[in-house]
Amino acid sequence: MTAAASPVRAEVAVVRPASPNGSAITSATRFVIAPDEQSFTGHYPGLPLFPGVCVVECAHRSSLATMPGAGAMRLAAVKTARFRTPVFPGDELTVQIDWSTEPAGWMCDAGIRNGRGEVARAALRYRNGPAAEPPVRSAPWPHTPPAASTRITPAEIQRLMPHRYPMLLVDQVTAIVPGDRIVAVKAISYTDIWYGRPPVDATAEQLAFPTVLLVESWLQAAGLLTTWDRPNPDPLAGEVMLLGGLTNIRFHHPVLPGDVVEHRVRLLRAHTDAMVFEGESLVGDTVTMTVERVSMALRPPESVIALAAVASAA
Amino acid sequence: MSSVPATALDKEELRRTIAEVIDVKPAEVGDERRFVEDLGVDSLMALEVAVVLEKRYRVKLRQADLKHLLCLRMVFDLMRDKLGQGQP
Repeated sequence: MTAAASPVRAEVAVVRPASPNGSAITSATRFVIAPDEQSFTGHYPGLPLFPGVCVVECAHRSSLATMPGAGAMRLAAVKTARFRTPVFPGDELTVQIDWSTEPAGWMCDAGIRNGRGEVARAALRYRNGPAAEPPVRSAPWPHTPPAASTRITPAEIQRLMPHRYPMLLVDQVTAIVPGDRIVAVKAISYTDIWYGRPPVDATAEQLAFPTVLLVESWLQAAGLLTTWDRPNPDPLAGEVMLLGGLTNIRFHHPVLPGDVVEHRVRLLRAHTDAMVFEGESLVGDTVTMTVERVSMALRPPESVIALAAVASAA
Repeated sequence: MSSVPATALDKEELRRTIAEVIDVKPAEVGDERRFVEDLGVDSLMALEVAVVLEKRYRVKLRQADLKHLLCLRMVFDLMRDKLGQGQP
């Protein structure tokens, strides 16, 4: 079976399959993040950073490669993820997983390190059973802002944000209340770069839009809410937007080619260099993803460039 | 997330709530242990603590309140004030 679409080209190398370790079950994997990863081109030009969601993807792929027991498991939620420091081209990532059982599935507690220390932790929840939960219908969003009088298109989006092809994952902003909330859309296509060239008999599972990119797309909508009043198209001249934490992001329904995903984001609180958001994503009136809490930080480029210099010297 | 009625401010529950947000074990959140200096909390986590307290306890925290979120005892005192529960 061909694997599901993934934004990470690096292959997972299993260092240790799931096995008892004292009273726990643990496993370990390794990835080499080559400079030709697709995401680096657009994230960001002149300052390639491995997207935080791709670090989560490494944890997810490690889970799929070393899942204890049998049976198909699907990613039901990112319970938590914390990002400590960026990952750069050439980094080697090791993923250590502690497994624990959950009703109808497993919890994967992953620690991700590069050669210089811990870069992130992620707790991922897996469920067996059907790919979709019973549909969750969205109530009319209490925060829906008035529709934008003009559609905000990719050219305008790229004047606000540093994300570039193929990592620009918002097609339009359809409504915004600056400093408060935003609605943005991303259309999914069979010809999306992330699918490569799918086989003619590709299954729905193979054509599901990569879950972590759905998260990234939502995060970019959140980013646009932040940059609306302070455009930040070049991280080297402005600020570097870094993911801080994800809390309880639940995946209710897979997203397929032909779907138009609507992201709804609300800013819960902001400080000078930090912000916290919540929201959801829908296809039609079916909720595909709910986001309890996400935090992002703005950092001066000098601090990130200094870390990159240490990484390339290693 | 469920919110709790204003009548029940339980310090242990507050400890667990904060521990979860700042990603440490509840036992590490001593009453007087300072979040930033002793537990490695950064400005981003501090902001998240504020968001979670507001939601869970249905209170509104002003920017000026945030400088009182330095350790569990101070958070407890602040929340007790916000919830209108003075000393018995």
